[in-house]
Amino acid sequence: MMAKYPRSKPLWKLYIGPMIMALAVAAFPMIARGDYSYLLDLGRLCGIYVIIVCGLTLLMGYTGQISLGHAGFYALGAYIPAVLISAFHWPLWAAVIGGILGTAVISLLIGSSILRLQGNHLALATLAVGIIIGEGVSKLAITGGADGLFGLPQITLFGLLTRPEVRVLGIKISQGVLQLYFIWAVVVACIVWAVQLIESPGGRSLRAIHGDEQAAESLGINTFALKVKVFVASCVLAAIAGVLFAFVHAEGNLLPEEFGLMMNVQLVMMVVIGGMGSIWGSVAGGVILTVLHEVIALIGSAAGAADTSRIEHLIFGVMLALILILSPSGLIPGLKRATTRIIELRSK
Amino acid sequence: MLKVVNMSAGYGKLVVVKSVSLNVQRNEVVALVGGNGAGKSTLLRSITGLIGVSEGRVFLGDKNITGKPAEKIAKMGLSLVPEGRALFPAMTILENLKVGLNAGRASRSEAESRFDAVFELFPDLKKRTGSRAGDLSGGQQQMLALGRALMSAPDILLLDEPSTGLAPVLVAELFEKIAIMKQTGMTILLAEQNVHKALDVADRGYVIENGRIVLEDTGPALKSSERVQKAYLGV
Repeated sequence: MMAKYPRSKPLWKLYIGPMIMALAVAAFPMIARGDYSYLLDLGRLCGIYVIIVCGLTLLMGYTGQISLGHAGFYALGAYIPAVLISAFHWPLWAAVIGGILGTAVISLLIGSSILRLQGNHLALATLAVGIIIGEGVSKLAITGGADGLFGLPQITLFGLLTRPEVRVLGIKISQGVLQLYFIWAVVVACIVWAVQLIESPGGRSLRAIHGDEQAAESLGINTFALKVKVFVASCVLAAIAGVLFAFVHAEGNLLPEEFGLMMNVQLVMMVVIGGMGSIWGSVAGGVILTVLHEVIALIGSAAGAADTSRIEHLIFGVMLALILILSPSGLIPGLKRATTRIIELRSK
Repeated sequence: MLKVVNMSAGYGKLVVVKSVSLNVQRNEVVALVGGNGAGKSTLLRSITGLIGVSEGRVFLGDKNITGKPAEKIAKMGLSLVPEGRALFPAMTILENLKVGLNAGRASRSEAESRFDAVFELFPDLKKRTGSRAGDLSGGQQQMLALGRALMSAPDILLLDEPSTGLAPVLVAELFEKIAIMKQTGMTILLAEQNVHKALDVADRGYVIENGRIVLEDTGPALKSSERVQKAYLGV
């Protein structure tokens, strides 16, 4: 008789990563010096993208279902509550909950109709969804069209996030840092949930679908239902990111440029560059591409360039090509393999 | 246990399996032998719900399972080991076996005893539980595919050409394992091109040619029949 039911991974391995990440974000204001408000801004944006990419990694990396339209669901998460507030005068939290639930219902309807498609057909269908939603929010009068919506209320967490600063154990924490903490607390919660899901029987079923869908079916897995569930879950994560963007990061000003066609491409690049089958890859991909985007813009403005989008596309393209050639499974799985190899060589 | 009545199935308009009837009794090993393209895999895949049945009926026990989705049929106690193993290559041996638990829900102690039974039958798997399925040799992969199917404690096991691509020594080892499974009272429908080995281990057998059952008898009787000897045993 075996000593106990065999476990795939020890518990500490599951939670050590999120704990280190939380500590790193918490320590940020204690380490940073000078005026770091720009870095806070960047840190918040990184967190928002990591949440979307985390969901997209579950869908693409673990389940093997491509989506080129997640910027659309990110937009729904931001715009549904914004419209409920501006046009229908809903209270903030009711609108936020309405936005997330609304996105869940819409993604359920869309997922149920397109997830029987596979490969290129699915990619095109999701791209069409992303474009339709992106064009919709930039054209409709109720969403403010190309001008967007202004003067939206902010999430205050019972007034905590609107205070200029708070003191905890003698340490001064500014409003910007509190907002960063709030966004990254949501990021950590999403990562913990995703890591638990992957190690659960449901998570194994997702990976089985990726491995061989028919074999998974013949082992009693309802593959279609699971694909729809993970699609909805990933869209809900995108909607949560949309809420954080609109009501924490963007200071009440919502513009449709954030949710355009290029955002769909960037999100997929974050997944691929970080590593398709790795939740930590989604963190790396989200952070690296967001920071790189800002660095290119900074260098461009220092050099007097008005528009750096073309050079950015070129650099991102070259980066993607290099990753696909040198480490097709992405950055984090590639680094993991390289580290294992070095350890093996040293032990010989 | 399993009864197929005048079943036809195929891909779109192409009918591959034509009015096939067969049955497998409890605790019986039945071989389904035939050449390449005879319709063995299509027959097994249509029984398990992976391919639609255009005519006829399939019964598991007294339940009509015709046209039911594959995952429901698996949960009713019918498990398929597909041709080419169809493992989940990026997952470890342990994870592949745990996915096998899906079809037959088990309590923790029941799951433990299933792991024990699989590791006893395939001790090599126990030594390498953390290895990725894609890194295993062909023989080990076949053992894992069998082990994964056994994790659901199925009422009947359908094996689709398990010896394909294996070296002769591994084929011999594979059929030894099938013989052990037979001794434990397992009900098996075995589709094989290796007619000699399949009829040796089987209680009964069917010969399928061009999608139709052309012969049916006990294993030894089929082996000594002139048609089987000429077409499949090179005698």
